[in-house]
Amino acid sequence: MTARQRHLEHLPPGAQPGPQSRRRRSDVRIRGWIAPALALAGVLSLVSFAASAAGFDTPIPDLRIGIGGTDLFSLAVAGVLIGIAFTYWRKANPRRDPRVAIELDRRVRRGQEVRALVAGMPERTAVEVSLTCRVHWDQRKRSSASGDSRGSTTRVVAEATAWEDFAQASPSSEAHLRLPADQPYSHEGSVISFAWLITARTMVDGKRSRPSMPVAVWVDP
Amino acid sequence: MRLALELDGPAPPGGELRGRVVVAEGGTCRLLEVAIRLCERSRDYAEETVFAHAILTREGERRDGESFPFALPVPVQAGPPVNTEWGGLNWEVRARADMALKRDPEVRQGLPLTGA
Repeated sequence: MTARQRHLEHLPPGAQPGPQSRRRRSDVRIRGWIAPALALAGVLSLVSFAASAAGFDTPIPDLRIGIGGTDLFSLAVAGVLIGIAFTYWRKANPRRDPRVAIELDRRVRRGQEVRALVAGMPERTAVEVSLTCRVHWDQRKRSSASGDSRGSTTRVVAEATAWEDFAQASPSSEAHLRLPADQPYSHEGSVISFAWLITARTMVDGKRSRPSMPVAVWVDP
Repeated sequence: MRLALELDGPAPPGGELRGRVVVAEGGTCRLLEVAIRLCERSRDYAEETVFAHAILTREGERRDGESFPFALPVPVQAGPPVNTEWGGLNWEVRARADMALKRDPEVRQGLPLTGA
């Protein structure tokens, strides 16, 4: 699954994204340019530092602040820009464990039990399976430009975990999780959406590894 | 003008909801309508989407006790209300009269579903 498709990972195959999920797709496309743009700016700053250190004119003269004959400022700017670019990229591409995969029934009702089958489970390793209800809700974000006390508002899609439960996979690689009857059912809406996801992660010496790719399950009322 | 909503009983998702809009207090309206709507809200926003709609009568004088039966298809995805700290959703039946130069009287009721 590419970063551009990751915003749809909460939907099982065949489920259509709602108006809010389609809006998130546009946001993800726009934000997808931030990391490459910052990385490019960081590389330009590095080139500027290298050129300055080698005694050439820098391609970004405004960034030059000579400290002892070496443009350390360019190096610092490059480091900050590349660091921010990596943070953005990592947020869009979270670490996942490719060894562990989950198979399950894709459509269940509230109050029923989900049987998850963990594939690729390493021998003599405990596997923790989590069932999560993720909520996406429209949030008003205020930003005030300098000199403008009124500011402006933007409609963004915020994400939160509404409910979560864990179970240990049995030696036969099975985990049974019960969907609570009093929690939200799957819903793709305009203002608020609810999605159910199952992930697995290995546990070694009580430490959790990174999670597997989440598998979406559609929960009927 | 005042309206009342009488439903025959709960209906299954994908089924049909039957009932009637009763004029509890008469008056002249331009339109009398009934709809099944999904009301979504988050902490900062709210939106309502109409899934089924019927116009029961057009312009005219409505007398006390007059009744307008209706049958609306219940959406297959309809479910019970959901409330969380981030927002929620609610399926409802709404009857409304469109009045000239007056506040439109309306009556709302949660969508009764079988098995919900």
